[in-house]
Amino acid sequence: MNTLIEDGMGSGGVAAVANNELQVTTETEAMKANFRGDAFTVVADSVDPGGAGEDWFYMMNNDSRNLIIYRIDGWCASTDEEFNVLLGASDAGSDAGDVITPVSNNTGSGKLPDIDCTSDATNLAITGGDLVTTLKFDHTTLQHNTHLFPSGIILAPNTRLHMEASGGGIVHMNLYFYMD
Amino acid sequence: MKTVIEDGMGTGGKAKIEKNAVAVSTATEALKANLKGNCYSALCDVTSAVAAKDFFFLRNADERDLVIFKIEGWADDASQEVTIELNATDDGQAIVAGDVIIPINMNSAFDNAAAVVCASDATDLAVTGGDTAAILAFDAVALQHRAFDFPAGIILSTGRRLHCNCSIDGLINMNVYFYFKE
Repeated sequence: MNTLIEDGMGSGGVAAVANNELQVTTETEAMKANFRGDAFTVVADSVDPGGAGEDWFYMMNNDSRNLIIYRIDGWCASTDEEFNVLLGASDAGSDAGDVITPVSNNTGSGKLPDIDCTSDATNLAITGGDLVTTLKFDHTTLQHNTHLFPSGIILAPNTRLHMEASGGGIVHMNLYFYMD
Repeated sequence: MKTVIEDGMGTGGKAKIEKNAVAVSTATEALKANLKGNCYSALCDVTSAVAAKDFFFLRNADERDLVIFKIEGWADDASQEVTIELNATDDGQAIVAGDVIIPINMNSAFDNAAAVVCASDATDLAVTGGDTAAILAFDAVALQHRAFDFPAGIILSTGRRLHCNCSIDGLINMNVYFYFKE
């Protein structure tokens, strides 16, 4: 008895077998989100965090879906720079930063996520949060480094993430996320 | 005969076909665990670890398997090596003398704590026993970050222990990422 696997959504499509292998999609969850228009980047471009212990980057998820961070990359002027990443702060601090508008990673999409995102050279003075990881880009000045998060860092609806610097100096950071 | 793949859990969900390929979930097990609030990071910042001494300890006190999927970090000595030992026979000084590490949930919707005993210390934790499962060198450049992914995971079953010792004196920053297998 031969069996054809049909589309459960009713499109009439059927699954192919090629080279004796069932064909399945292998797109990552981030890529699937990107095809839906739900994958984005926020870019903190040439921000000087000011000094040790200062909160220089802030995100709040105002969307009803999870915001899943799967990659952060960047470079710094100071080889000693480290960033504490904190989840679950209780306020937006001074909220006086420079607004960062997310950019869709799909040119065919005009969607934007409902988030607040800012960076600032002045301390944003955010309250609370739990230290979920410490990032270090590279110990060579201006050398790019990438951090991947196989589990994601999940920012649930109505919750916050912020970053605290260990020192001053120019930072470039790309933060990649999708909504799901 | 034509077949639709249905959800065996009775939700009524059916698998989609996209361009003649079956749509399947490619979410990593770590992501699935994180979505359920079962994924954590344990951060260790030791200044200054002592040569040939135990500086990090983790015991799984949960009834589920604890799966370490990533370790990253940096050290201030380019020659530093971190040895990962499994199956020690005691907690050494981790509970009485170590600095307690409380792993942080990686999903901001959850605040459930990980059922583990976790500690670090610049003084020897003096854990007994263990088998060397891996030796990590973060980087041959001092303070250079390096990440190690473990596609098979390092699995700590219930009650089992992992500890780390270092080859030479110095600062060590280490982030250990794990989830509990449902």
